[in-house]
Amino acid sequence: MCGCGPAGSISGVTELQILDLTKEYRGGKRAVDSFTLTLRPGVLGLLGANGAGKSSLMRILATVTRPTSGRVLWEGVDITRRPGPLRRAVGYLPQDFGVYPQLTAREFLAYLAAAKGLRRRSARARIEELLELVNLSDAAGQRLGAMSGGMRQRVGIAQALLNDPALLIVDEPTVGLDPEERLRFGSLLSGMGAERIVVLSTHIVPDVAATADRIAVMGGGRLLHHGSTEELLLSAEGSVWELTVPADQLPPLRSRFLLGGTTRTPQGVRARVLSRHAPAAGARPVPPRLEDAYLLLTADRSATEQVAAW
Amino acid sequence: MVTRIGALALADFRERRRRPGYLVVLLGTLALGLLAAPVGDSRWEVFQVTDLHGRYTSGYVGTVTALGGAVWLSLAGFGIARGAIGRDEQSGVGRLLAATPLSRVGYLAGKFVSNLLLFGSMLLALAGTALAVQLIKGDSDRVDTVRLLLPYVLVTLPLLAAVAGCAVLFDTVPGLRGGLGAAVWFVVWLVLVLGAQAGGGPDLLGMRRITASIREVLAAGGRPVDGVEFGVGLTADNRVLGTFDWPGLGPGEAFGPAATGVLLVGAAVGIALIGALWFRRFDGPRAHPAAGAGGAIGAFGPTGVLRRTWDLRLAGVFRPTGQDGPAGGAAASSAGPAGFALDPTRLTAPRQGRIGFDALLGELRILVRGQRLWWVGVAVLAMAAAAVAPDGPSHAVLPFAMLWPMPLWSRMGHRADGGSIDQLLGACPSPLRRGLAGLFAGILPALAVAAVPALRLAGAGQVRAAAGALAGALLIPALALLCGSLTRGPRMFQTVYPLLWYGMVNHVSGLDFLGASGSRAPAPLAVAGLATALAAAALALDAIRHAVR
Repeated sequence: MCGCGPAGSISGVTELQILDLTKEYRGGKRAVDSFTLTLRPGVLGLLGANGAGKSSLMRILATVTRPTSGRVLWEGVDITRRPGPLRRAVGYLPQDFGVYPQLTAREFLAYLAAAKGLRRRSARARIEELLELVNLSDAAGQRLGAMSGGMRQRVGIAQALLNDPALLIVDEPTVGLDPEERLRFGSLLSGMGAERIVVLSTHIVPDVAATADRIAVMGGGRLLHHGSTEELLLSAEGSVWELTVPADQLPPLRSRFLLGGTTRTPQGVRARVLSRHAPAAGARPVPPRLEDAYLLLTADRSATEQVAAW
Repeated sequence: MVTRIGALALADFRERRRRPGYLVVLLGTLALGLLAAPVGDSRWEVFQVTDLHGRYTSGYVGTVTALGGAVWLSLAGFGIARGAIGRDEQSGVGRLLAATPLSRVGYLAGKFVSNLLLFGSMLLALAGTALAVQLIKGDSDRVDTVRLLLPYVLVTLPLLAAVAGCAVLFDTVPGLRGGLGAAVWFVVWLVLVLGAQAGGGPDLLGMRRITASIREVLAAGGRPVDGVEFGVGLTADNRVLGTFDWPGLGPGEAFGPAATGVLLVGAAVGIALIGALWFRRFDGPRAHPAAGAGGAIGAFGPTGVLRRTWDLRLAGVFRPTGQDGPAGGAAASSAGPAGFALDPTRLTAPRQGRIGFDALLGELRILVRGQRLWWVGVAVLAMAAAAVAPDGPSHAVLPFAMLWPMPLWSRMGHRADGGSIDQLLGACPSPLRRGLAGLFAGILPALAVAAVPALRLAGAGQVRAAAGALAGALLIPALALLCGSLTRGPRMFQTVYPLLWYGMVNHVSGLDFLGASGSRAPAPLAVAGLATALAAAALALDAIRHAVR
């Protein structure tokens, strides 16, 4: 065992600079639009709706895709011109990844370790440890094709950690994990963020709340917000209300306000209303949650304007 | 039911016609049309009538292009027609379809119709080429649409319907889905399609009626017809050919070929649907292992839909910070220890090295995966090669030994079996070195099967032949790498290599890549040079793709 530093880290501060990055696909679809951000060790939670450009951004950061314009600098080196240094340092778990179904988990990890250029002896030991980490030691000889989705997802996580990455990029990593594993995986990411850059993309806002120390919100390929979790929560302070209404009053309420959630109670439906002003008499202000802040930020313009005008 | 089958067939056809393999075969078909009925002076011909060729009437150009198309598409077209069921299995579409009321017969019928659409679209393009050739050549200004299209309807379509049915059948038999299926089909094609010209067997190309009609025309023109021979196949002829005027098959002569055509189509439907007896409709245990391409979500079986829903529902109520709602831990499975309990910073630190031997082993493992008896076959071939003495510059075992790695070579140059594994490999360093590792992983099996025959040849003093065998062992993996890289699938190689192999065993000039015909064969250095060029082209293609990723 060894507590050595992550792959690719040097004595200086690990840094990933994203400068005015744009990715435009054929047909003119702009997935990432003038995105600028600098990442240092820590966990960055990347939030955004489907099609917001998160996966495209992550593919560019992992050097799987080239940007149309803009630059990404890893330790000062442009990863488009020279992807090698970043590739030796990155661990990447895409949202959808393929496997060779005839290979066992151990064989598959050995294959990817070789593809990452790891020396055989250290790779062999690390593979066994990672299989233990993801709780697949007993299934290490099982063919991937016979594994459940959750097991395969854990193999995916293990491969992302093979080279002890200084930059870990994970896209929807907790799909298929059970609740306890999700908690522990979140802790694992937090721990890794102490000296590594971790980019975590997920739809599950509570996962981000529990894990990330900074949050970037994307919409339409653009960076809508970047800051600490507390800053994002502060932006929603005073804009979240709870109100109990009869069930038949819910549809009109929903048409007039952005709702952050509803709960059925014996007295009616308790609605969580996102509004800059009190939506009705009897509404009481409540502390915002990260989902509320996220919804307020990403709600479409008309809804936001409606909320603001109320 | 008909609407369902139509919708399935149309979607499947659309999906396939946007693949590179379709374009390659289509271009080959159009090129064949131009060779079959060349516009200028050409030594190449597809339809041979001793020392004659016909004037370019609608009937003549329709017939020669239809015959050429039947021969070409029954081999190359088969390569792109099969694989539809495997693709549904790998993409996860099969599991979606399994949850619909679509029956197994309906599903297979849809694939059959899709294959027909595939071939039909190519025949349309070929018929258009034939018409253009007739008009450009100007032998006959009269366009007779019926006589132009009749050979397509009577001969080519029924034959390709049978091919379409066989493609569906091969897809339902697991052992015939890969390289073995390509080899089996090549033998079937040799016997039934090429052999159809020999007479005696089933006249799948309608040659009897066509040749009888041409003989009647020649006889009517006062030409002796006893020595006239017919053939279909790409050949070069440097002689100055005489001409004859044949209007083509007319509706009155259609009965014989039409009867054969109806029988063929009936057989085709039966062949396509018989697989319904054993096809498990993606709900059996065999469907599950191959379902990995979609990654985490795609990996679920039919129950996976429920599990995904469960995940989402859980996500909505799960509060790791314990703010409100039921705590996630309370719902946690208590069966077995949970993962991620270790501290990853205390694991063995990996050491970076160069991508080399381990990557080669990894690629070799991927080529041989699922074929545990493959090395046993190599040992058997080696023993047979050791026991058989060379016959001059040829060794009887060598050509057959070079067929054994074909299923492995079919996997080179693409990651079709690994689904979207490119997402993972795209983030790994040194793509060129990995490409080289893939090439050498294909060369190793070739050397394994060619080594003993080459040693026997060298021991018998046939040094050039031994060098030829080794050069051939370099050439085929390089060809496989390029074919796989070009089309990102196995079919092109599975079509090209059997043709090359057939030419080699028949000592066709220029195709004897193993040097079995001694000094008449290409020089081993030239073959090795060609292998290097093909490999370089494949690696360059990868580099270009990487540069524009």
